[in-house]
Amino acid sequence: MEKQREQWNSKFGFILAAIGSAVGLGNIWRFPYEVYSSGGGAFFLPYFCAIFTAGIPLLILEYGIGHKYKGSTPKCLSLINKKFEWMGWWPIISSSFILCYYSMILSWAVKYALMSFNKTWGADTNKFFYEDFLQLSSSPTSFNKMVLPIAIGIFVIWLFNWAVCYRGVKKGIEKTSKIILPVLFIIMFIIVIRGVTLDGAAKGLNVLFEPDWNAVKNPEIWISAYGQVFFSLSIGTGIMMTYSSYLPEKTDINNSAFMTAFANCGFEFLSAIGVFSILGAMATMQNVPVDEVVTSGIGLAFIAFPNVFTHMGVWGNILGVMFFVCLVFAGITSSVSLTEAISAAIGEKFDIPRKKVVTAICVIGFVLSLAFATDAGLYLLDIMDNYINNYGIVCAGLLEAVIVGWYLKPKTVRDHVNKISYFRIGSWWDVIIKYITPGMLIITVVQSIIKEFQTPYGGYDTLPLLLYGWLVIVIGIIGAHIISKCRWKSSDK
Amino acid sequence: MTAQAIFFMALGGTILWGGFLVTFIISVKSKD
Repeated sequence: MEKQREQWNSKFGFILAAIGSAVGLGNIWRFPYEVYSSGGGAFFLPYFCAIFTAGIPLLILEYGIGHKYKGSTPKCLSLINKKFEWMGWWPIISSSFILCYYSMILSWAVKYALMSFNKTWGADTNKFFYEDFLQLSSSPTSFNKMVLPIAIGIFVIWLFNWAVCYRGVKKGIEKTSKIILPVLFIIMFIIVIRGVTLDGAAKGLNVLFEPDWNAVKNPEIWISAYGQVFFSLSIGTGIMMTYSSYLPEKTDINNSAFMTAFANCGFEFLSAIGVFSILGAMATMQNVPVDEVVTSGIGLAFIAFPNVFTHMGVWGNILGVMFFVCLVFAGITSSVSLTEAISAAIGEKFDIPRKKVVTAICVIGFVLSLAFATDAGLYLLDIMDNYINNYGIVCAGLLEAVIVGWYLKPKTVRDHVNKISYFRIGSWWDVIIKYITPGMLIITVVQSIIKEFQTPYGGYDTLPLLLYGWLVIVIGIIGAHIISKCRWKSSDK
Repeated sequence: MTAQAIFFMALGGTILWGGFLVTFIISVKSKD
């Protein structure tokens, strides 16, 4: 007998969960820097082109496939053709690695949120982060000890992932998203309001938004705009297909894709205003140009911002707590969605009940994540993140677009989504899926490979790059082939 | 803030949050 597939309680529950998955750490610490370094206001031209010609069409593709074939990514692709199943397992394996290091960053954010109450990072936030907090070793291959507070934080994050996914789609993921997402947007809104009223905020916003039209003539800026939109929307990770497979028969796919993209991009736009207002205030306090204090990623969140909060009195404590809670909330919904995508794929393949598969994945995931709680964890994260994103995830998205564009034919998916959606998408979508998206993704991969050969990533030695970078990619491809050779045990396949 | 910076901030915000609002209204109207 065919099993009854779990379903979202409402369409808004699905949209909130999808937005929660898309909104992640990159929205807060990657996008603002991307705008600043890619032409300011002029960056919006390639950025909006990327949203409308790649982001939204790919979201419609993933929602459409997930809804049509009602399964996790490997199941959907195997239903299109058994030969494609491994292309569904590759993003699932990549997502497993991402989940491991994501839990580490979230554990830092939890710890920093607690430390914000009394700003225990002190005056030298750089020294505190690397030497006292991470206790960073001298090289990527030097593992000397486990950093216990980080390990405990990782445990807490995995416990949360487990508690949410264990309860299922409706009672777990949907309910959690309905609480966390609105709170996240409200906190970010408060940060923005406080940020723009700080002395010197205008300086930061001028640097962020003033356009440099020469940048638009640079093809690299266009590639980075497509990269930003692609990574920001959680495409190519297996999440969106899995989430949309829980939608009821009659639902609105096209509008949901537009809504997810606008909310996600609107959130990162708000983050950019908040981040650059605070950086402007920091530059004013230190009496230096804004360009000297601009940074991104881990350096922005765990070094630059704590430094600003130190000099802001009581508002520093309040903004500190809000900023790190924002990071935790943005990241935890993505972390839950990754856990769900992996659990659904394995559960379906080997016919394991949700509770058992979620528990097994969280226990194994926690044990593997402990590698990141060592004193070389930051190196591992840095290298793995670069290779998985630039090769694993981009290639997964590329393969998806090629399968639909050239094998399944885009019209099949377009007819399916148009049949159930409030408004229809035209044949322009077929052109995008067939030519534009694969073209842009191929250019992105080729550019990454060329850069790799010109300068090894991060100036690291060959050994760590081979071990934590290329090996992870190879494990993903070989692992995907091995799993796809196993028989489907679930009764509904 | 300079006029150019204000313009691009308003433009970006209007497209993204305006777009969200429109899709939200459609979503409420579609009632599935």
